[in-house]
Amino acid sequence: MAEKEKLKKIGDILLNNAMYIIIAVAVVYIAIMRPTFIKLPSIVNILSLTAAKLPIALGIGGCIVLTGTDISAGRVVGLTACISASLLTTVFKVFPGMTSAAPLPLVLLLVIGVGALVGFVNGFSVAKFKLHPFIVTLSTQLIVYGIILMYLMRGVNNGQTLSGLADNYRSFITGTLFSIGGVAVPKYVLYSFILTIIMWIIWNKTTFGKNMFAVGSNEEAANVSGVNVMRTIIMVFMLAGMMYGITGFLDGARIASANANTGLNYECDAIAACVIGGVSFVGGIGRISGIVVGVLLLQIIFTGLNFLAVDANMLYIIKGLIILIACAIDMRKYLVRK
Amino acid sequence: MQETNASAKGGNQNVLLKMEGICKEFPGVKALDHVSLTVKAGTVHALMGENGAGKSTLMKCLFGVYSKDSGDIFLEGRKVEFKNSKEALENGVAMVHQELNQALKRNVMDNMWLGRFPRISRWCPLTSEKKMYDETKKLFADLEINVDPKRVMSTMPVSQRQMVEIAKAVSYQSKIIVFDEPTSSLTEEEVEHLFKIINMLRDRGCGIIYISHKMEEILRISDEVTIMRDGQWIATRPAKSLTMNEIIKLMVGRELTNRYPEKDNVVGDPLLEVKSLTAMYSKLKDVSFVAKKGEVLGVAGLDSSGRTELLENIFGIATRKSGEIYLHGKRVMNRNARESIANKFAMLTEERRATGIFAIRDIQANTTISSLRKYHYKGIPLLSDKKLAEVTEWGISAMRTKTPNQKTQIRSLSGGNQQKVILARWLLTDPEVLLLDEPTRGIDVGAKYEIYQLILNLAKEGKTVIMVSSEMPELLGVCDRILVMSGGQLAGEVDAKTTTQEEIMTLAAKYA
Amino acid sequence: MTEQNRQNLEQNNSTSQRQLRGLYSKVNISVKSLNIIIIVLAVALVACMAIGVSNAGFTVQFDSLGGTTVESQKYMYGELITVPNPPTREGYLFDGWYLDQNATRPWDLENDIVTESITLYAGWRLQ
Repeated sequence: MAEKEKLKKIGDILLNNAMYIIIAVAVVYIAIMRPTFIKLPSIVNILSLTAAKLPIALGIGGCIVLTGTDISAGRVVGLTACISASLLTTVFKVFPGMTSAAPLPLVLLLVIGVGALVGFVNGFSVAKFKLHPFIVTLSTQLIVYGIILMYLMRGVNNGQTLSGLADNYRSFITGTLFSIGGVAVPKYVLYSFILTIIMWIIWNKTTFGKNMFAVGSNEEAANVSGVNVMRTIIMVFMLAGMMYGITGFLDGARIASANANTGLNYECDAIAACVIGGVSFVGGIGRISGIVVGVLLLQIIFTGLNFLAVDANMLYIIKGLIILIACAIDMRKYLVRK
Repeated sequence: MQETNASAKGGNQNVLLKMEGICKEFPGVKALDHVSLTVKAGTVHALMGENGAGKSTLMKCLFGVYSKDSGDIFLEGRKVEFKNSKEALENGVAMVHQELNQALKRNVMDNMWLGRFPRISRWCPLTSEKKMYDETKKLFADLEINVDPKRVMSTMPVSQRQMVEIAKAVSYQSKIIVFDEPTSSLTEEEVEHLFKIINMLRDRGCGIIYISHKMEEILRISDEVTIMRDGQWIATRPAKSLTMNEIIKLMVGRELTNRYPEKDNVVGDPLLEVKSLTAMYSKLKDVSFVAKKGEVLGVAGLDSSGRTELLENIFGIATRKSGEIYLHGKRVMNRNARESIANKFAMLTEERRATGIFAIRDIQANTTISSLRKYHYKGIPLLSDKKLAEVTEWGISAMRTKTPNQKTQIRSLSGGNQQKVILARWLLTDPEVLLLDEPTRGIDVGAKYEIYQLILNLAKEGKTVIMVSSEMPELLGVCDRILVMSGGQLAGEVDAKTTTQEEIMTLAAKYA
Repeated sequence: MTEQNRQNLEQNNSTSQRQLRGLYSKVNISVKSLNIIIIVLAVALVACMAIGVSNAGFTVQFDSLGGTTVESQKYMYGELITVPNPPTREGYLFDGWYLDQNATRPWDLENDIVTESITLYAGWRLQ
């Protein structure tokens, strides 16, 4: 009997951590097969990419805590990247009338505003009309995509990829923060770090953060307890929108161009990262540290698979399976045992 | 010789259902410890016990909702093990649930025939509306149920929906029918009808398992009573040989002497005045009353008599149509919970799990959620962990909540302790008027006493407590005055010291 | 204490499906089947990774834009591309491979390494 109990416990641990185990084994395998994977340049590369994808996951994390989701994220990143790239450029194709690049802070505020606006529409529809976030954000995703396409048709651009970005824009984001062992760490790692700290404070140290968790775990009880449920939901989605705006701003310069496909499927990575990081779909559960770990793990595994020269088509399938497994494990943790 | 006769006679009453030595263990707790239950054909078998005694766990084992750890179930001598309630139903074991699981947007006969719609003919896969209608009509006539089979479920009162559920059980030719608290939402007249149907079923040779807390009912309707306590079988006796006091003694395992603490609160000046309160979306109509400082004001009435709606309308979580609320003679609007809290109101809701606790959040989060703004650092709008921990600690010690620490998830506490956490939450908002809706529901007897003590202490501190309860002895024991609601209206106001249960019941039926 | 625990459990078991709402509110599945699902999915994941690794290699396609065809090749991560026979075209001179058709982003055969599947376009100069 005791033996059986023990086995069951081990099985529980194995299953609840199946994802981490698979990733750990894969990393060890990759490191053996391709030793350059664990060399400094590769590690810095992984950390930079993690930093680039972190803000969007931090935003979506809040939506998942509310038992929702946000699939408009990628397109909002695309829109804000296009806006940034069209204003902070040397070739003014979208706005032929412009002669010099717009000031950086202004553009940053503008894209944050655009993100917040989309977030407001999402949040308002979810809070007021009680629509499922999936449907709401699906609609805004389509709308935003349409706006991107129309935006890129403006002026003389004719739907082309925006490039030729202004130097100060690029250096502000991809410039060297510091170098270790001759490998440059880009500045956006710092920005991402700052955003993470801000989000940690918001989640853990503010009334709004506590209210968010309360609404996520029991909306009705939150209402009775005097939480402004509607405002909380709207603010969570707006905050997420702002994060997408910032991501778009960073991504434009990071990729050095922006087009209609920028940001495509970013939300999938972000949602997967959140679920792997223990932000549960049951609502009201999640930590910033978990999200950081989730994004990092995903980045490690995909960089590693890239090192093994696994085809991009297969990577999509692997990504899908990872999300499914993460959900199944999450469900297993919070299901009622009979 | 006579005895043998008697036992032979008993043997003739053939056993329909026999559950033997049922054990069920949840991690760390024995929920059922070798429980046995024998139901004979043509009898009503009452199952009694306090909340948490294991009644519902036992039934869930019967219906395969839980898998039992050990023990056997025999149906008419045949060993059975149902995987789910559908399988049980097909084998003639049906349950009329406390909470009805029905497709409310469909009509009566759709619900009756759900999952087994009759076909027009064997060869035609189309469902036959006519067959459904006729059969339902026949069945209803048989059971003297006066419901149109084409009526949509959601337009019918709960009592009629329950009748449909019973008819459905009968239509499956069920031999064993379990009634789980069937009368909790019925009027007296409807209860009579239900009993008539139960008697009819008994005469047909069905075995009825009847779960209820209402002792008068049990003594009236049942033939045998099985009493459970702490997951164990305590006794099975013929109903005729039992008295109410004996049942209580068996259920509680000890004699309760002091069920209520001594009342020593002093009623002061009027504090809260409610004038002709009428609700927008419920039948609450024209309710006026005055509550005084340091008073415990009870609200009695049947289920759906508007008791809960009264509190919800005062607290602003239900929409008012008209009416005014005055606190200290000043009008307060209380348009929503936030405003009410600012106006020093607090409300403990009836459905603790649905609208009270944040199940997966810890004690600290559950305690501080309504008063978070008080715990900011000086000057900056950020929360101080130290202050949060301090007030939570105060809440735990003041309420004498039993919890390992304040980071424990609230769902792992018992009902009584959860209630204490929510009370602490409200006390931290520094309220003057506490609206308590069924504060002791789902709480064991010992914890109830503590809650009563807390309520009286609050009154002693000069707060006004308005308390809704279905348990009349509780109202009589704790309150100073009792408002009686009936059909959404205020039927009367009685003094708790001089009134009787009969007087309250009469008032409660006034507009019902 | 045990009495309380038991009570808890009964409450939890009967109602926690409702209190833990979220996306799983309608989920009705046993832990056992969930275990099987997790294991099956994990096996599928590992299998996909294995297939991916065994078919490793990024495809580099060559679009000669009207010149003689160059067969596509497979490379591992970090390798240099080598083209045995550069394409030829009537009336034009081949001046190297580019990442785009407009021949604006050149591919340096000596320094650029393969990190993903790509298509290279031939650059032509009028003779």
